[in-house]
Amino acid sequence: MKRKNNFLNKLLIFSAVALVSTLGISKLWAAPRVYLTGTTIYDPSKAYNSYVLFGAPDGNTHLIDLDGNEVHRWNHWGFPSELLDPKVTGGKLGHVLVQLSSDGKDVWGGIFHNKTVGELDWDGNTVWEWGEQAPGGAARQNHDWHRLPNGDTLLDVTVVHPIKELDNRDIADQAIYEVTPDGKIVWKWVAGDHLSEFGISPEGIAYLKKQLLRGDNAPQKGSGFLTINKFNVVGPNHWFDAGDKRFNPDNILLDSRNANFIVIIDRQTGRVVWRLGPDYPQVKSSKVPRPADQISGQHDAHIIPEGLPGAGDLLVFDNQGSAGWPPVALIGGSRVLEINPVTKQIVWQYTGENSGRPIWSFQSHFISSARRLPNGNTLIDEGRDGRFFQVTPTGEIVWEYVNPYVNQPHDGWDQSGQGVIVNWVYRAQPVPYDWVPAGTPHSENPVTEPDVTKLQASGHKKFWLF
Amino acid sequence: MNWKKLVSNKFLALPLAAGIGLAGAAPLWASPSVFKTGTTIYDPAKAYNSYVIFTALDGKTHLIDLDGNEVHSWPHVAFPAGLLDPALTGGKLGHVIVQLENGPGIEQGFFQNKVLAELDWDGQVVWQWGPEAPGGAAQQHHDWGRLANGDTLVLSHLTHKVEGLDGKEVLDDVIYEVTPDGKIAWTWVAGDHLSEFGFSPTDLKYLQGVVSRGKDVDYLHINDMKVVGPNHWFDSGDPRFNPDNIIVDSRNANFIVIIDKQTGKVVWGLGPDYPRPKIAPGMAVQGAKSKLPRPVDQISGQHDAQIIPEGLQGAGDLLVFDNQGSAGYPPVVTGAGSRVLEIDPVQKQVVWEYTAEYSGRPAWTFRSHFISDARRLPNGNTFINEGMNGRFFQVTPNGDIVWEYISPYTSSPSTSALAPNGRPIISGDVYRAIPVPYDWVPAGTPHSEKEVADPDTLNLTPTAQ
Repeated sequence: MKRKNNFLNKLLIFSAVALVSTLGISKLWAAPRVYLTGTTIYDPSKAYNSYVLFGAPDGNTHLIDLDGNEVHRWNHWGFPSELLDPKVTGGKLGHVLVQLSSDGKDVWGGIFHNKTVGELDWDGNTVWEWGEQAPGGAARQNHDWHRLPNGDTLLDVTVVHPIKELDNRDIADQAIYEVTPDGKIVWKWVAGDHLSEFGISPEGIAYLKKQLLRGDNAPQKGSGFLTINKFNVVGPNHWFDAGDKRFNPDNILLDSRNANFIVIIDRQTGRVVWRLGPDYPQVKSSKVPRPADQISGQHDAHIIPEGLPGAGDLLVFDNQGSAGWPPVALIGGSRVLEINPVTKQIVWQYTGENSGRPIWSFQSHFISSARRLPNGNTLIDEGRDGRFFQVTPTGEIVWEYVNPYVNQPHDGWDQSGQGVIVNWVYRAQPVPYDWVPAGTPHSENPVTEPDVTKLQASGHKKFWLF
Repeated sequence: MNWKKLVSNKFLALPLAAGIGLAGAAPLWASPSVFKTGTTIYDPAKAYNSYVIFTALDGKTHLIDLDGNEVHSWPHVAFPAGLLDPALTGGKLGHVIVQLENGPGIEQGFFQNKVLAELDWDGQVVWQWGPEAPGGAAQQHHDWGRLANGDTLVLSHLTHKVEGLDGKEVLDDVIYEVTPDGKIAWTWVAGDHLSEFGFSPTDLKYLQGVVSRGKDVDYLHINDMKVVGPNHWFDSGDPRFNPDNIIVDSRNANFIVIIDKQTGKVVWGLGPDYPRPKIAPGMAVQGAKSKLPRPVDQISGQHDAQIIPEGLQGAGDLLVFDNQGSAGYPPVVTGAGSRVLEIDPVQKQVVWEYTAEYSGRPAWTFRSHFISDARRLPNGNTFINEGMNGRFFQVTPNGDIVWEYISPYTSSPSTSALAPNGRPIISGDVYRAIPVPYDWVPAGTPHSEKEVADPDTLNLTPTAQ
């Protein structure tokens, strides 16, 4: 009966239909077409039991428990929505970073129309806001940001200027700003200043120039010619403790989606001190360990924090989305890679095959994230399909959830102008139970995975409502 | 990020899998994990009502009605499955061509075909070919065709050196015309025509690099071979479209060509280099619903190119499933979803297309980066096999989905390839599925046409959270 109740409590696929029923057209977002949303698999004895925080296309930031119950919501979306460690909020629980105002008409106007960003408390009150003091009068924050222990905030922002090695016209580039609580920029790093340090081959630069000549990276298009979609401080790690200065905890690791590289920059000099890519050997094996092979269009590269299994290794969601100058060959499924950053060997990986499914059954060619959990599981956001799941080190899926929070037609989220409905999720962040105010509920009811080859009862409306 | 209550401060080597317990593992092949199989949508008033034939990874060739009932099956794989037109079997109904004897494994076995055979409805062998083939095995792959004269066109493999490719042996594609008594009456070897496929010097340089780095490289991967068939272009004097000519496409090199049956020369070609499709930078989200007609833009990893037969809407146009899978020398930028393109082969303009956006869904919700096919139906609908997900559906010309089916027939642990951690990889993918008219099977074969309502018509109130 427990299972029955769980299914009853799921928000079904039909929710999206209800939103657009007046049009008489169903607008659903993943193939195959008829599937459950909410929690679809949950083994509380094997999962790392926590909340999950994410910004969804409905424009809100959601906090859910692993049964899929929404336990809290903020009426703003963040790119990404980011829960703040109480250590950087003076002990206050449940603060988030989100986008606060836009001068564009749609939610997804987040890059060029993103005016102000800021910190909200648990109740949604603005604690800090920044943007009007930014160069150009708008924050233009995108893809990532972090609060530092000193109270400053690091932001990934879009800047527009010519890069003389490439083209004499203005193009979209990205910078990282360190902004003080009173809104002053006290440190800045501009990606375009370091073009020669990213390891891009002469052929790569020639290809990029050709792209720019076609106007692919004109201002108002994309977030930057590199699309830096992730950065964070390296954080405490055993490499630095053992004397390797490249891994200074204050240094910043970032990745470029368009150019397939991951680098660490020195916080003092701004120079690249460690680099992976952009050119790698072709993917020919899935055995580990092996040298890092061709990554394409990756997201969420970060050093696994101390205390977690694999601490000090690099964890990255390798989308295997079309990217590279020139584009590289793709393997037809995404990968999550754990890489020893010193030997540059892949020491663990996840693909759909690790769960006994075809490699293409796990695939998101853009967005997405992967985080190591305290019990050794990995939380993966297959962002394109709004699917979050936890895998054990051996590839068993012990929790799965499909995001039911979708956009309104024609609000700009689908990027196509067709008014389609999407449930994609840029990034999903695991949140320990004790990071939210006391009294916030959570449940841990198991959800058993059915055998889909038997899900063939005729008249599926009855079936889904049993 | 700092986690409280840290389990340990040590660097932990993660145990890598060996010997996974398989008990209770459900076979799943698409994401998200929990979805319905069988017929999920069916509007008999708008669909073209027929059977569908396909080979699944359970090792069988299935014939289903649109309600998803299996009405017949043959215990063999076919690559691809297809029911023979009674006009080519002396009026006999329900004959198929299958792979009778293969190498081990289901998917792997397809590519180690030994004997090709025609079976009747009851599975009796009517004709077979293999031991008399060059190398003693048919090596048939991806396509076959029965001709009006009773001969069979067989797409096969040949490992040899190709002039212009670095002196190394490659896995080449060859077409044989085989007579009923097993003799090869005509041969066409792809590698003999390397200079006719439209490669630029840059493309060829890249291809040569791939060949020299690999071993027996399947450099073209021709996955499609069909006679052009009667068409209005030929009738009005264009000899390139001679009905006896043969259309083939190369998955790895992104070209589609017509070869002259008499000379073997390429007389018409599309690709391998095309203008870029409209793709939003960074996201590679396809800006589908681009203007029509328009010049053909970059195809990648396509399948099933064919001239639409006479009598069907769009007759004489080229229909192709453009996978937008990673392909090309060098690889091209690929879009977020697959496309079905109808192309005027003389103007080389896209005149009709289907992407998921025509059904009001994001481009990536219709996507199969490999396998797959598309066929025009008598009522103007298009039948599409999104092969990777084992999903077949019919769309109307304006993109309404009026029938959908997810194949529940999967590989089994004993016939599947193994993941690096030892788990069998269970899949329900389908190489090709083909609509079959009701009157092509023996009388008395049942079919039902029970409506399966699209969920959006159910007027359900969501169970809000």
